[in-house]
Amino acid sequence: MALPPTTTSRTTARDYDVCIVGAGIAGALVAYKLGRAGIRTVILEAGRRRPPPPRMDYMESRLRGEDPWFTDDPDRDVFTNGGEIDYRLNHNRVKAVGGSTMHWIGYTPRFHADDFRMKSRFGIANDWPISYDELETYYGEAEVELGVAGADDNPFASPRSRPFPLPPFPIGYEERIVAEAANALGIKFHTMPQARNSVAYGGRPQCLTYSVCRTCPIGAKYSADVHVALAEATGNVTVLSEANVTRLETGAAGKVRRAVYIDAEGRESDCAAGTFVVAAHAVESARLLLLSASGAHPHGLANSNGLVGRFFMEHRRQNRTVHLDRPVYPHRKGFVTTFSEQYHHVDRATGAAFWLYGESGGAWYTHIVDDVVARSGLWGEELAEHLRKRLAGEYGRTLVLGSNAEPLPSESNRVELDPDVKDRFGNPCPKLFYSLSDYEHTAYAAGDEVMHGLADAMGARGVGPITPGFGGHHAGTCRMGNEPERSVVDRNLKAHEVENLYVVGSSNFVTLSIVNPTLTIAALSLRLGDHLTGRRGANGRAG
Amino acid sequence: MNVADRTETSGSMPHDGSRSPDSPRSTITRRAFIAGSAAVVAGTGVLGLHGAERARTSRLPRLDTDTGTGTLTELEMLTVLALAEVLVPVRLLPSRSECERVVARAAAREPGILREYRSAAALLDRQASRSGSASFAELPLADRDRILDGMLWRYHITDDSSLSDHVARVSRRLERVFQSEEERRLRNLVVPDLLRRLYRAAAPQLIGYGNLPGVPGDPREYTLPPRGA
Repeated sequence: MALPPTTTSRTTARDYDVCIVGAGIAGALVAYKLGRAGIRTVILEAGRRRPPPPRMDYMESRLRGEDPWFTDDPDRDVFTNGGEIDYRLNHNRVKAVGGSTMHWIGYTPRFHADDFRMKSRFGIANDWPISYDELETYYGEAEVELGVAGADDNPFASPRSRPFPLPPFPIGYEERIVAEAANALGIKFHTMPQARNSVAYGGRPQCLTYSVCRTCPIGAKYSADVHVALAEATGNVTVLSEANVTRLETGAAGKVRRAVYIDAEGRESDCAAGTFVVAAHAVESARLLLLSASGAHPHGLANSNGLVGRFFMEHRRQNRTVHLDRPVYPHRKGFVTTFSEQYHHVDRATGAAFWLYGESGGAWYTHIVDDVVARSGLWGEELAEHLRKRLAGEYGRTLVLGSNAEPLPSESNRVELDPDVKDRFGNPCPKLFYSLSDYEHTAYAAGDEVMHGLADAMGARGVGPITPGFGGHHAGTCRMGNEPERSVVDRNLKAHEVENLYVVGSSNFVTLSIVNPTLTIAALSLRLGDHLTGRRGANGRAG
Repeated sequence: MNVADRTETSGSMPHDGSRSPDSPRSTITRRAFIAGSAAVVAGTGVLGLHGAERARTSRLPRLDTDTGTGTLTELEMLTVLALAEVLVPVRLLPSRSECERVVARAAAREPGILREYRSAAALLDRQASRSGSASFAELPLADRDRILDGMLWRYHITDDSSLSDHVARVSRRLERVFQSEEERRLRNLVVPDLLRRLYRAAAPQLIGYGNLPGVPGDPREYTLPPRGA
């Protein structure tokens, strides 16, 4: 049930130079840059700040098979679907200080140079207004900020100008089985870059393989609350959590004057600033611009061309469980160390791109424990021996092979406002329209053929059915571009139509590549930070 | 045995009662009649037990989540930890402080657990006093095991899952007749709950793992087979 704010009395936060909406990785990195440059900045974050102590509780919850990071406020985070896919939005995002990096898996491959020039290279999709080369230095900077462990052993990657800051994680025992089979088929596996400490780094400890990475209890995996804290430590950045921004209001000059938000006590407040940066992830960024419709902007802010919310993209993945005759000793870590971008490097004019990985698979042992405990009535040594037999016979002889397909931008995949369903504050909730394209289906079929070949090469005694899933990689909705009629923001991420409004994050993506988006989000955010501080010239290029 | 195994067993049974055209004609002998009658009686009994089992399931003790969370007293905690030492071989048990943390966390955060553990501790201590001991925790391990043996009504499993199930069902029917509500709650709620919590970390050790989920480990161990495998 939608509830309005408990009071309409308005309080005004003090003025800031910059107001950022969203304390995920994009907002955190922009704020960090601004704070270091002495620019007074406020971040308004809808979610709560979850300090370190509960992380142990979260780990316990994860061990029970739950994910404590999913929404703690379903009335706030209500959404609907209108497309072919019944997309579970709240299982693929986190609202909290630190955003979705609070439960991400931590993989940080870079996009390939071709991902930025799909139209000119392959005649499909669109080109970005910036090239890989323009972003390359920011990729390197992002790797240093996040602490990326990796090795320069990927023959399919685009050139890099600096080494990884941390050494790579060695390949896992079970993954070696996959990589060796792939090698026999001529498929090259290489290191997975990841923002996880292979050695102590950035004041955070080395990974100790708790195997519950989405709820890493010691902070060995990077999460954006790190840069929120660093930004606050500059003394120039203020973070207001549980501040749900409901609209941006413009003034007579057409500029955004203030962000209106509802605080934790249900009071409506506002925040004035000279510049506004919307960094609320692809769904909520678009929704906020649409919610900010006014007489001067009847279709929403920066939306006279109707493209806000359009070109929504996501990675749909497919897995198959492979049953082997030998133990693979799974679940001794929670991440993959190797994967293959060999099929990233295909001619997309005739084929479709995907990436390939193999990892610990099958159910955890806990269901076997539960079953034996519930049915046996044993205890002590007798129970231990019976459990040992069951575990030795049934557990740890499966791997999961997976492929992630590249989506192409489609105008019909979109985020709209649903006038019929309101959130807790009485605002229309986001409505998603999401379908798969023929291009993705082609990629899945090609990926599946390779997975079957790999299973055969491993001597599998059985292959399970396809298990589909999603990456939680929302993108598009506020795409960047040089043409105001075909994009929402320009190459510097400034809204074409609003002088002091920027949008940053995966919402800017023109294409989504095959790999995880977070390092590209980080690179774009660091680039915007430099643009806003004016340290590298107005065009955003290194000067 | 898992569901697939059961299905396989079922699949080996004849699909129907028809004889193939070339099967030998037979007459009913006395031995066949007796065997058939016994099968009918056994079948009826099994069906009856199935029905009873369904009825019983609805009467199994349930966690009362309306009761509050909180902290066990020091003595109650000692008794629960003494119970843990009987349930899980000491070589597999997490450290005593870790066991205490697991139990305390459950009591403090999960509604209903505190009441069950508290009640179980009182029951165990009463049983111990009958043996002349001040508390369950003060008894030697073998004596604690004997006390449990008298209350837990083992329904020993076998490699034949269907037989095991039937034994379990009979055992569970009998417990309703011969056991107190307190004992049934110990058997059906407290013991399984404690075992699940303790084996969550302990189980991988049974197959040689040194690195356990939720426990810090050697960051290189995952590159090799487990040391104990």
